[in-house]
Amino acid sequence: MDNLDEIIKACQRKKTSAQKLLYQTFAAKMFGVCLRYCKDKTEAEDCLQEGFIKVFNNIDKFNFRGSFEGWVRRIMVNTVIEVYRKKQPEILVDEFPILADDGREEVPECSFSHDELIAMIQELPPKYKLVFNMYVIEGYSHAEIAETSGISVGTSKSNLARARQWLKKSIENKLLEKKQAVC
Amino acid sequence: MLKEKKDIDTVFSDGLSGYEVTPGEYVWESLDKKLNGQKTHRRTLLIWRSVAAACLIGLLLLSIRLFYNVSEPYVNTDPVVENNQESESRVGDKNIEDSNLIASTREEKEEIKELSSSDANNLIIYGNSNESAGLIEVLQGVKKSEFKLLASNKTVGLQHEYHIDKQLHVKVERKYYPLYPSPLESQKNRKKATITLGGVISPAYNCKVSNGSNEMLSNANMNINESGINSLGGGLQVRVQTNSRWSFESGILYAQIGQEVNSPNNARSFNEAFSQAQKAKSIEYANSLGAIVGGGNKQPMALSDNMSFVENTSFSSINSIKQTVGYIEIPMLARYTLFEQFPYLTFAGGLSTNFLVDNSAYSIDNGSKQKIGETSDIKSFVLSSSVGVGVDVPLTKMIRLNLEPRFKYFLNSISSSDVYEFQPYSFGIYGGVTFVIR
Repeated sequence: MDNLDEIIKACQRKKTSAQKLLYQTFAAKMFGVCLRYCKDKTEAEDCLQEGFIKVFNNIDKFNFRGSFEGWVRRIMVNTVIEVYRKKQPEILVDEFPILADDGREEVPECSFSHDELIAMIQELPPKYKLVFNMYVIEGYSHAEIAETSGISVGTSKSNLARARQWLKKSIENKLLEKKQAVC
Repeated sequence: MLKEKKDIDTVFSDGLSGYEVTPGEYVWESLDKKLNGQKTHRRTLLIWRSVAAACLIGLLLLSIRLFYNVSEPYVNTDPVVENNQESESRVGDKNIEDSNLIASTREEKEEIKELSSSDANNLIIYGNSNESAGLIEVLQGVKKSEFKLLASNKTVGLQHEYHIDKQLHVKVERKYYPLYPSPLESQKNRKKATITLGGVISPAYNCKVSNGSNEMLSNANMNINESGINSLGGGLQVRVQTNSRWSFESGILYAQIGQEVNSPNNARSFNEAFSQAQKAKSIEYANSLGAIVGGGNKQPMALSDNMSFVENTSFSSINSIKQTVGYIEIPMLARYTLFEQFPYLTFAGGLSTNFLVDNSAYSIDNGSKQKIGETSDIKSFVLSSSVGVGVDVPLTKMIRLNLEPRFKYFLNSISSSDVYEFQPYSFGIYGGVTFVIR
C-alpha cells in the first residue's frame, strides 16, 4: 500500500492498517500546522487528534481531484478554528479600533530557527495568531479568513497588521538578546 | 546576522515552510482507541436501528390490523323488515334495493345484483342461517320457496386484501451522529437544551377495574361477561431534553377506552326480539360503565330485562354491546435516562389530563357494529397516570425513532354516577418518529 490513492481507498473502507499508514504519512506535517495555531504542545496534540478523526470520518467525501494534503491541511485549520470558537468565542472579535493594514513590516535581515519562529508565533494573542497563520503561511485571502472564522474582512486586516507589529517587536527583542549574548 | 531589511511575512513563510514535528506515539494510540470506540458504537447503533426499524414495521402492521378491526363497517340504518304486514307487501319489490344497502362495496353490490337478477322475486337475507331462521318463519307465508339465503359473507366474496409496499427501504447511514454529547461537550454546551417534535401512534389493549357488585350488575341477575377492547390512538408529542439525564414531555393525543359486554345465555327467538323491537325506544344493557341512551331519548329506560331493542336494530341475535369513550389526552411526563453509558433507554412517568370528545355504544351483530346510542354519565374530564420504558434511537442527526410500551391507569372512575364504578387501564405501544427542531 505505498500508493497514496490506495491508502486513501483502504481508509474509505475503514481499514485500520491503512488509517495508521495515512496518519504516519501526514502526522508530522499536520502537527507542525497545529503547533503554529495552538498555544502549546498539548493543545496542538488535541487538535491533531480531533483533526484526524474528522479526516477518517469524512474521507469518503474526498474525490481524488485536488491535493489530498491540502484537503487534510484545511480540515486541520478548520478544527483549530472550531476549538477557538468553542473555548473562547470572543477571541475572534476585535475589541480595538480597526487598524489599517498599511503594507508589510520590514525587519533587519536575520536568521532564526524553526523553534524560535514557532515560539514567537505562539506568543501572539490567539486572534492575531489565527489571521497571521492563515494569511501569511497558508495563503488564505482576507475574504476567505473572514468567511471561515466568522469575522469581518476589516477585522481580519486589522488583526494581521497588529500581528505584524507584534512580531516585529518580538524579532527586534530577539535580535537585541542575541546581540547582548554575543557581547 | 543583521545585513539588510527583510519583509516580516517572508521571514516566517520561508522559515516555516516544510516545518514538521513528529508527535509522540501516544497520540496515535489515543486516536486508535477513539476510532475503535466509534466503530463499536456505530455497530451498536446499527443493531439498535435495525431492532427499532423492525419494531416500527411490526407496530405499523399491528396498527393497520387494529385500525381495520375497530373501524366501523357500513351499517344499514334502515330496518330490513319494519313489521309483518309491510314486509309481506314490500319484500318482493325491495329485494334489490335492500341488497344494495346491505352490501358495502361495489363488488359486493355487483355480486348481490347478479344473484338477485337471476330471479327478480328472490329475497336475499344477509346473516347466518340460525339467526335468519326466525325471519324465514315470519315470511314463509309469502313466497317461501323464492327466498334465497346467503349463508355467510364468504358466499358473496367479502374479502379484504391489504397490500404492503415492498419497496420500502430503510436507509442506514454510515455517518454517526451522536445523540447525546460526550461529557466534555455537554459541559461546554451546558446551557443548551434539545427540543424534539414528532408524531406517535399507539395501539393499545384497554381493560378496567370495576366494582363487580355494582347495583346495575346485581339487579341484572344475568350472566354478564365484560371484556377489554383494542383501540388505536395517536397524536403529536413534544419533548425537551435537558443536558442532565432528565427530559420532559407533553403533547396532544387521542386515546380510546371502553369495553365489550356480552351475555352468552341470552339467545332468543326472532319473534320475541322482533315484537320487542317495535315497542322499545332505547336499549339498556347491564354493565359496569353506564346505562346506554339512544338517539333523541337521552333517558335510560327502566331495567326490566337484560336488554331491549332499539327501534332500528336489525333483528338478529344481538347479544353483545361495545361501549367506547374517546378522550383528547394532554400528558405531562418526566423521563429519566436509565444508563448514562447507554442513553437510548429511558423510564417515563407522569400524569395526563383527558378531555371527553367521543362517547358511543354499538350493538355487535355478527361482527358488524351498529351505533345504538351513547353511555350516560361519562365525566368530561378525568386524570390518568402513565409509566413506560422507552427506546429512543437516532436515525440521523435530526430524526429519532421512539418506541415505548406504556401502562396507563385512570385515577378515578370515568362515570359520574354513583351506581357505576369504572376505572380503565391500558397497555399500549407508543411508537413514532420525532424531529429535532432546536
